[in-house]
Amino acid sequence: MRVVVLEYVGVTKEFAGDEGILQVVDDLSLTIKRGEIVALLGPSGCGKTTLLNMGAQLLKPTRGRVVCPKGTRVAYAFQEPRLLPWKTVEENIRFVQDNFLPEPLGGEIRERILVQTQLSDFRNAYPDELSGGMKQRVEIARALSIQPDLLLMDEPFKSLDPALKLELRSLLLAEHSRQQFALLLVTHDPGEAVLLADRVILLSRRPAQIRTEIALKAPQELRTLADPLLAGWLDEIHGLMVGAQ
Amino acid sequence: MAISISRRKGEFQKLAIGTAGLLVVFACWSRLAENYHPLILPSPHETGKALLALWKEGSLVSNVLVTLSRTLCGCSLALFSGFALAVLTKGTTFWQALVRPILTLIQIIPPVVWTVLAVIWFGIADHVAPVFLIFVVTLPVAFVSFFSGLDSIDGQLVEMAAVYRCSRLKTITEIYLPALIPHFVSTVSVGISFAWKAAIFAEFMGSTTGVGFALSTANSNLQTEKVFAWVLVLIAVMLVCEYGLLTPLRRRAARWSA
Ligand SMILES: Nc1ncnc2c1ncn2[C@@H]1O[C@H](COP(=O)(O)OP(=O)(O)O)[C@@H](O)[C@H]1O
Ligand SMILES: [Mg+2]
Repeated sequence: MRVVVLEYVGVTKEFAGDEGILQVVDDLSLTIKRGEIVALLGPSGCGKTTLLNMGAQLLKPTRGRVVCPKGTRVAYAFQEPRLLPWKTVEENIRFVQDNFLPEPLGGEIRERILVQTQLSDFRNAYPDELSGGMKQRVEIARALSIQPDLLLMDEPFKSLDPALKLELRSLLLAEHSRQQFALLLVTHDPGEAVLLADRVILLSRRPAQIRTEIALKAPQELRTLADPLLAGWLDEIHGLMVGAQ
Repeated sequence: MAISISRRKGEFQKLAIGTAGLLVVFACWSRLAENYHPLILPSPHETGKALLALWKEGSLVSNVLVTLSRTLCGCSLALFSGFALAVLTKGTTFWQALVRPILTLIQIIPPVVWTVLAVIWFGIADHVAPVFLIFVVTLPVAFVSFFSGLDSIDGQLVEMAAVYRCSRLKTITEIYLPALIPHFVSTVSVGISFAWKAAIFAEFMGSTTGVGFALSTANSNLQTEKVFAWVLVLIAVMLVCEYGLLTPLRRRAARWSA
């Protein structure tokens, strides 16, 4: 039995707004175990970021519980990069690494990930000298560099060009098989979900509920969108998403 | 390039206009001084002579140093306490509810009252009374400025630090402090000029050393040209402070926060 790293138990989240209460998550339960890749797929505004924020313990559920066992090392690649403007790329990564890893080891991992995210030439650049896509890569690199037990990613590849997307997906998979973290990935791209995930969780519109869960068994390294099996899953998901409208 | 030249030209123009204005004031002073007794309005020449005398007898340098060191001492105490209070009160409504009214009270009470109290409490012989007044006058300014500076801190970065398990101390030193640097510089600018004026005032009212005391002595001895000389000294110190220290500091901070 693999260890549970994150568990949502009957979670409901409401925000108090100007026009009364806005319910964003409705009685949702979900368990994520070590080594799993779980994709949360849902229309924009349905409550995906809110779910991740609760997973990172940044928000408390209105009802229910979000359990992350003590000592679980959590990394979070935020939807919008959150980099310290007064630190360089490398310093930004070290800033979080120092909390977890001793330096010779941290340095090796940092080096590897900087190279793989094609950031090594920009290690001494400040965030305001980088393009949006590069900042996103730093955000991802930072998350991967702490050897997390649980990695939360909020649409990490959005607005990157297709070639880079492909590259970063395989980097993510390579780091995943090396580090065996649990990955909870938020996306609104069904293709991305079926390429990466062991389980695709299809969310309803706001308030988010789990509509269906699809388990994908084929090894990720072998998956391509041309694969008929994958195409079948994609069709199924598209069908469900259209049904939701 | 073109922009920087035209900006420099604009700055030069401003400088020229400013200098012209000062020259007019100076001319008026000279002109008026001819019509009045030196006891009422000493001429620039007499003032210059008094200034030179002060320089020669060494009281100029020693008094300025005393006043400056008091200013720096009281001002840094106030900046430090203001920062600590702002950080402390930011998080909790309890501390905020407790500290805010007290600081408002401190601000409402006129400096004269504080000076009188300081003299009663601490006597006039030493540094305590002026430093106390500087502290009291500068503290609310520092607090308000740091408090609003904390508002400008990016909560998203603080969340990021929390997820990645940064300690409270690390979050303060690596996120709060750098984000506050521009505010810090502006607080120092305002604080120092407040503190300097407070120092002169306190020395004038109750001290036996410092520029303020020298002013008060000259005043009670009816040495108006000395009073004028000291006023020139006050202006000179503030100008040096502004252009030698604060302007470069602001430039630094602007480059840094960009
Ligand atoms: N702090 C908040 N206060 C009020 N409403 C919020 C807050 N955060 C998110 N919402 C609202 O909750 C809904 C879901 O937001 P979010 O979780 O960001 O959606 P998604 O990431 O799926 O696009 C949106 O309608 C959003 O406006
Ligand atoms: Mg979102």
